[in-house]
Amino acid sequence: MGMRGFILFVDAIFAALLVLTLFSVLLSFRFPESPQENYYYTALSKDFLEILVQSGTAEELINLSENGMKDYASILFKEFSMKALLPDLQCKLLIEVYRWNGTNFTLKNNFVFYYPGNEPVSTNVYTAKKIMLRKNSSNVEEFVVLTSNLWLSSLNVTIISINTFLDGDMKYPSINFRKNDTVFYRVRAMDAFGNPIKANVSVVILDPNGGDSGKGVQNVLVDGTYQNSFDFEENDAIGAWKIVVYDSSGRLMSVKQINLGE
Amino acid sequence: MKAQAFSLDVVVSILILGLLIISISYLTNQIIQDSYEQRRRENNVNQALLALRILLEDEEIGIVDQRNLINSTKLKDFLNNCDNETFMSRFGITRNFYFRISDEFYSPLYECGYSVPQKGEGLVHFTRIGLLRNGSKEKIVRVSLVIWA
Repeated sequence: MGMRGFILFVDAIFAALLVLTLFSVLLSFRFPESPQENYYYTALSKDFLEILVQSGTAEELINLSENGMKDYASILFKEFSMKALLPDLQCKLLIEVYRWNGTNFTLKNNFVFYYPGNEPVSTNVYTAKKIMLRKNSSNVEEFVVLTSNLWLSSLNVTIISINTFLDGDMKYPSINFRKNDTVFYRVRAMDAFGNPIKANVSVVILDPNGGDSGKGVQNVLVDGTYQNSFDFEENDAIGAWKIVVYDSSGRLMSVKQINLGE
Repeated sequence: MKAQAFSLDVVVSILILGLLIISISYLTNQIIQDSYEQRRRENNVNQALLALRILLEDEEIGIVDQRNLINSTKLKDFLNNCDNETFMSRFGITRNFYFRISDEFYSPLYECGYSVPQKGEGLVHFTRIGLLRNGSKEKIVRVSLVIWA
């Protein structure tokens, strides 16, 4: 009997292990990139082009490039991208200018701009196109095809949020502090879908004059959340202070303004 | 002796069967809970994306004169009615939400809605960009919407 019972027991254990393995495989199954993600980033790509045209930046880029000032155009594009793009996005902009030669449209010029300055590192590139009409310096109508390619940087960080509190338990949020107070702050890193992610960041505390107060920290890992604190001292300047978070490549990720009173 | 062996077999079998049933029911429950949470999150994602689309692309219902070009009068009307559920349902927002327009440094310019909880169920956060026109001045802004159950 003993042997038969033992064999039955071992069989049952194997059966249980098999079932558990099957379920764990099912549980660990992950869906491929969702259509929502594709829709969201393509919409951002279109937003980028719309604002580029509506703000007149596209026209300026073409004028500068056609007049031999491509370097200025690149700087202008980077400044625009810093303002308009979300921190985890990088961009390549292609501008194609076509003119009418009497029988058909021919490509007159094309310009390429990058922000921050690399080819895509991601396989998922979200493309949008926009056509605009313009008149060149000779008052001749041309049409321009703008193509933006957006892709996620390797960090894949969409949101860096900063919260400040009066207490170490972080129960009492506040943006107003007094001299000799300790500011407790929390930095959170999430992707577009609200999932916590890891990111290496630096936190800089700027005084009201925009100078680095030296109260921040360099190269810390935000594993979903990062918490720290700093002290306001008696001789600190009163006014609007800023907590600024940069990523490891030095790009601005988030800013939180707090007020220091008497 | 045979009867004894048979009864032990039965006891062991019942024990193992019991363990199997418990582990399967536990795992099934986990899967159902996960898929429920996933569905809720997906619904919130859809709601946030749709609301941002209406706000920034629909010239009649949204806050824009044309795609991405925010009209300050329409924006004020939206902010004034933020606590009106019927008004918010025009944008497809039926859950807890927090709306914010911030400048390029993420400093808030306009906001409304509820304060965002630490751990909201199915909490999602999306940001799109727009051009805020105020008189002759234009400013690139980030339009964010957080939705949770």
